[in-house]
Amino acid sequence: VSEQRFNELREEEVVYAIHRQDRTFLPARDHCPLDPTRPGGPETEIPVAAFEIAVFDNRFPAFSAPHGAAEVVVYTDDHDGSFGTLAPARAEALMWVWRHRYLELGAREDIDYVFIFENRGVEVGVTLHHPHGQVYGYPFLPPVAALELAADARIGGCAPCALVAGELDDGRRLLHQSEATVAYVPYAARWGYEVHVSMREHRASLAACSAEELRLLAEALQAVARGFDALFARPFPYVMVVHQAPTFSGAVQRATVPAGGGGHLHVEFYPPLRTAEKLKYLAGSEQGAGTFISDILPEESAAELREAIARAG
Amino acid sequence: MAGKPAEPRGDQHEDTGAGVDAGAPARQEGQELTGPLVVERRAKADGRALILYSEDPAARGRP
Repeated sequence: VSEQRFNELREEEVVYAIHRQDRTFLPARDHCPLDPTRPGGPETEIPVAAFEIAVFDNRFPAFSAPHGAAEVVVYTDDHDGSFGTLAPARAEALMWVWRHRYLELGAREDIDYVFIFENRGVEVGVTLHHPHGQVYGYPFLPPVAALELAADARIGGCAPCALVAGELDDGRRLLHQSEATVAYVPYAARWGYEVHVSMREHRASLAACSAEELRLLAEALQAVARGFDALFARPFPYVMVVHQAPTFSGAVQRATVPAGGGGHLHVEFYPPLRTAEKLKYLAGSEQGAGTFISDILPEESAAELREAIARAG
Repeated sequence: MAGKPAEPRGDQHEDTGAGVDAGAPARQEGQELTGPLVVERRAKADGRALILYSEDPAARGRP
């Protein structure tokens, strides 16, 4: 059971999930808990010999009912590979799984925000290499989601819609476009190779997307992920997060959501590398003052990524 | 955005999603579906939920 405490100075909740200290940490390849359970092999988290996409309650949850949820989403029964190397049909199926988890967890009264994410690479703390992501159902609105709502309120409309329009108008940081999606390095990226993939039209969540839009979202995300790997010709670590509308039903929170705002589906990638070998650390200015100091201009990293995405095909 | 997303729950429903052809071929009775996927719910030995998603062959070629 986790404990939640409010940090007055940061105006944020801190969650203590001390049981997670004992979670599985970089097991040997033949003891991966996310592999299927092969006949004669060790019992894994998924007791079937083959599967396409599996979702299960995290054995070491940061949140659990009736105070939220923590799920693991396993993309494939193939231990090797990555999100970027999934067959396009599987990546598209994953969008439907994300959508399903958003709807189902978002319908729960104890969950205010459904947060889908993937940590890739030991550089960002991955403990299992098998291609997978996670879903947290927060029993409160986390600060980053609250900041996005505040941005909507500040500009009097949907901030991500305005950002997409600005990036399309500027053009220098664009990476990939389709009828439904736009991928770009943000004007004020915090990470050297930060990328956002946003829906071109206003879509509050995965639930608001058509089947074709989900397909194009998967295509865009994979293009970015493959471009990352091509950039330095190495597996590229990242944190990938899905931002969409909160699912809370409280009147107070509703009152903070301006018309036309309150959530716009987009996916953000935060890669920790600043060169092929060097990591960007969150140090004094970032942690103590909340101000990112970046070593790369977004226009320059965008040019590199455009070339890498083209090279990766 | 206001309120909880509305989706039928239970073990017999079809969540077709926006823009998905609701006239897709009929599926096996009792199957739970989401878009082009079949949803199979199980419980692990320790009681934790496990959901297996697989492509619905009937959804192939659907617009």
